[in-house]
Amino acid sequence: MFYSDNLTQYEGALPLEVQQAIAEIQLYFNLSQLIIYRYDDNRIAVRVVYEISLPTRGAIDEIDIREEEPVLIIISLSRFPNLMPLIASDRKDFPTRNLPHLYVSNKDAPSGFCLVRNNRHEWFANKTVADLLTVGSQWLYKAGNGLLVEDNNEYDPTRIEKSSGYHIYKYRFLRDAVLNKSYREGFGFSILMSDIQQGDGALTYNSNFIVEENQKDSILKFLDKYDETFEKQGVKILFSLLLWDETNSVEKEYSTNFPSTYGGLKEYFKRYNIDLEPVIAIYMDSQLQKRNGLPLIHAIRRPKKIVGYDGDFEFINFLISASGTVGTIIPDEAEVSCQLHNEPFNSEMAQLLSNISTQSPTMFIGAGSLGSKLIIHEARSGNLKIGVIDGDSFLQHNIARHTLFEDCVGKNKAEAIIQKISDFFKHDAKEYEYYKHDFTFFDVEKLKDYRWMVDTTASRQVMNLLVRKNISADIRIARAELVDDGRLGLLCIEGANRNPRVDDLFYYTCYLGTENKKLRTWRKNDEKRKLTNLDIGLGCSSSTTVMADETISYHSALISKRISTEKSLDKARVEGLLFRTILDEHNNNINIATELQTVPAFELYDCFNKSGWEVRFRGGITRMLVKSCKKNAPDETGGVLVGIANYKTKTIHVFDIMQKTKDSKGTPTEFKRGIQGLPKRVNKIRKQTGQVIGYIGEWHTHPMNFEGLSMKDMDTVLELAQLNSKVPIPTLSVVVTKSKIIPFVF
Amino acid sequence: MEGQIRYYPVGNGDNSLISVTEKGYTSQIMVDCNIRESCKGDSDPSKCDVKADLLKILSKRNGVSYVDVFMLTHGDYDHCRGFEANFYQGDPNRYGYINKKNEEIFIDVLWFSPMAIQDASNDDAKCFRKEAKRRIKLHNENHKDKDLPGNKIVIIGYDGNEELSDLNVVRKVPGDIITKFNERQLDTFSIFIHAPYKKQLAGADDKNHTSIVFQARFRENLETDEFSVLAMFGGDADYIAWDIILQSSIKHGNDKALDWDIFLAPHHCSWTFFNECNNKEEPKSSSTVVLDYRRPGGVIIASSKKIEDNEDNPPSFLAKTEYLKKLNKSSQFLNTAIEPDENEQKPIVFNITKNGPSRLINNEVKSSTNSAGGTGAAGTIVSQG
Repeated sequence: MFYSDNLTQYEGALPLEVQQAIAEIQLYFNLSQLIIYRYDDNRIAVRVVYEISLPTRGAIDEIDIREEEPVLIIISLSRFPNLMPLIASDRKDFPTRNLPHLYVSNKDAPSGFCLVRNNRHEWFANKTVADLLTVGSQWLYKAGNGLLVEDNNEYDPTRIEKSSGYHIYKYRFLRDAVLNKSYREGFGFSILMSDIQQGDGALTYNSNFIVEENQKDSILKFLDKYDETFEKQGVKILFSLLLWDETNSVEKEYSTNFPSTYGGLKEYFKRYNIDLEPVIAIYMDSQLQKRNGLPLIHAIRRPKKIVGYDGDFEFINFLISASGTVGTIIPDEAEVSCQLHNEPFNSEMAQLLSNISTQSPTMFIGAGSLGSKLIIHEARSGNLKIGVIDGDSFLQHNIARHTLFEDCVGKNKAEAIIQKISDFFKHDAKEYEYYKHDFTFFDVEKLKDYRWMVDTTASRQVMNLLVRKNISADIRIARAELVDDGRLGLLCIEGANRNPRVDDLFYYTCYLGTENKKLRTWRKNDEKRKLTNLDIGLGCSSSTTVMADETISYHSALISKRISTEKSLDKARVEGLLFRTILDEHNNNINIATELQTVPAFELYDCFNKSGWEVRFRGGITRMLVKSCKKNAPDETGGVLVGIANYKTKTIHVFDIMQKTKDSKGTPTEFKRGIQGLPKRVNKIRKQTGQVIGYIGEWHTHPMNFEGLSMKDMDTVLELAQLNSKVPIPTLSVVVTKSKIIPFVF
Repeated sequence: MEGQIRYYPVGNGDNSLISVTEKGYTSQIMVDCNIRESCKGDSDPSKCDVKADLLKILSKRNGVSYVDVFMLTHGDYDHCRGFEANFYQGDPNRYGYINKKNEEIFIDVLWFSPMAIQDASNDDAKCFRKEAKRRIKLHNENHKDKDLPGNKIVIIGYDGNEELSDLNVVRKVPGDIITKFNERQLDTFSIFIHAPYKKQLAGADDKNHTSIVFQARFRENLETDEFSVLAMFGGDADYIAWDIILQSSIKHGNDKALDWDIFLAPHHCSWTFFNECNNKEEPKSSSTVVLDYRRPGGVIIASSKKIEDNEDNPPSFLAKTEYLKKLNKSSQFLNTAIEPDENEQKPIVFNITKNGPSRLINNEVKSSTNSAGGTGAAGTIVSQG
């Protein structure tokens, strides 16, 4: 009737902690005495009775939970309180078969209540014995009130108390296998191609391919041919069995104990209308036993959907350790153990764990220390469409700051990282591709299925190519770079229709040195900066900056997060974005911060004289110019333009204007721009931007709306062109009417 | 459907809360209140801080706790104590900062019997009457705001009160089954009105005769006719009222409306449920027949101070003895004053299950790594040798 009927009284000494635990149990149940039983060599047990609150007309679903429930509290003599005591029903007729959240043991012993999620010993580390007893009471209350499964429309899978190793497979893959045809008609089983994932201790098996009978011979032949190669690579192939009841019957009850021998396993399967012996005979006759261990999965159809899975099949995993019996009959006494199921890492799981619901196909340019980290973040969040472009090889010194490891030395970075992330999602259909060359040789047609492009090369050449290559406006381009020896991370994300563009945003960031102290410091340091030449081998050196791996990780994590956030926006941002990550190490203190700034679209003008230059004004500047024209009318006015010109892209970026100086003079037909204070102001901008942004041209107004350069204007342009050619910069002259901006570039 | 009934320990008095969750919304119906200022805060750990528990349990709208329905069974002090201090009265549009700061509970719909606006023997009853009259006026005037939460009313029972004569549209009478609460039609919860009867209201000189009596009905879903839980709320109705309820229910074929799984012992376990106070020899048969409508496992709740073997009434030890005769075991009789412990009172909470009400045992699991709350013993002078 009761398990305790077969226990004898414990007569040995009790450790102090165990004595205290028993005193707590007595206090909790208001008992003056407790009989202490010997449970086994290492454990004692005490019997107590819980009073359980049930619905007035009895337990839900007629589960045999009673108002008084006797339990055994089983305590380790040597490892309490490091090990949580087990609470198990003392009733031999406890409705174990009908209840979830029970540990199923493989011997005729009371089944312990599964009281807490995750590691119960970890939970107990912060709890008292009274807490444990309370949770035991709550478990029984929930059992009687139909609350053990939080959602009653789902079936809670069996809790296996003792197991050895894991079997990794995709639940849906096995569910579909059961729903499809059997390996051989008249039987309910499939053959799965598996491999051993770990060689140490308890083995972990991985199954992701169904072998049909007509494929068997060719697969075996292939394996025989490459057996040695596989072995050398550490790949250990074998075949697993998946069995189910052909009558398709639904099994509501839980298994209460699991077999420990092959003989017991045959009996176990008989209870589920499965005759194991003929299936094993087919397996053996087919020469499928490649190793001593035989993994075997039992599919049980349950009355409801399994909690956490998309189907009503529960899979119980066994491993027959048929040691020394390859190709021979398995003896009844061969050891059988249970294995736990582990869902392979997949995109869905990755997205769930990363709390990311949408993924955008993304092409990365550069798989260096920063790029590799962004790529890994992207892959770990479950993106199954990633491309990487990088012509460099992974070298020894890269180990210091790259996500790849020593095993990749000598391999192309793009190829190696794609290989690594492909391994994350063995069971997913993914589109990962790599290009082992520079972006220079990249065919933008290959971007047609991508939505994002992230440049982490810190290369001006790549930035120029991003401008010059005809990349679709549907692709959002981001550019990330770490500057100022790791004190700053810069992320620029282009606006809608590629406006503002990466080059607008990068140079504008430089210009912001005029108003942002951190950026000013970067620009000033950059002006003086010398790259460190690192000797990486005889005759080889690599230009690099000294920056610790954790510095790159800090910036890359935030940059990745920002990109991910932008990708998840319901409505894509129209403006461009500047995101800065700041790491300030000073006097042994570390301060971190981020800055976010949106940048409206630039106003774009092709030069009027068709010299091929494009002038890109920061948003709002042309309005200021027109306003000046109207304000000073009927006199002309003017000033200088602040920006930068790029001969490679034939682009002039204008970020600011300077109005007329005091010594300037305007009439209705002429404007003479003075110089008073102007050099000082321009020079200041040059200094604050690291000599990058400065004077870039002239502007003056034609209030009478003449849309061209006058003779006088032309003369001035020629004079200026001579001067500018020494820098060199193109000569930009912008004519402003009351309604138009007319740029000329020579 | 999820449901719950909370019976608060408020000494001799009633204070209950019915919650029904359907389609993601929890309708909350409060039946009477007896919120004592002396039980608020930590001043007496043995007493339940009813207001604090309500604020924890009640739904919030714009940060304000509210009930869908507040039902006053009758205006005795032990059924409306604390109404003025803890519930908002007045124009709902004027619920302001001070009201929010005072954590005044907002009442969407006020349910009351006509008697509640006639006699008022205490300040809280007067306050309730004032609020009811304010809302009645809006309805009589057909004011545009009359159906705003905070202005709505339901009148329970007949009357000859002219003030209410035009309000039959918001009137429910004995025999009616109410399935709509705060404009929300519920599939799994309803209320069967037993009392007050017309003749009770006509000649009542004792409010206990005119108490609202109702049966709260829970069912699993719309498809089933079977009720999973039936809870009887008897207010302070005496044996005379119960006799009428019994006879009338049988006469009109409403026997099922007498069934109960939980029976809130009327008038705080008073002998008046069984007979006149001067006749303690013999309980009226009609009262004992009412108790025979108990469904298997049914429990009786005495919302009263601790019942002791003495001559007090209420609670009456003799009444408890009569109740126990109808139960299988003494644990089916629950006295709010001693649950779970008279030194640490907590509401008696029943969860609604398809097999009947199930008492919720809420033992909190704490942590083994704590430090004292507040300053702990550091705030106490400790003498050491």
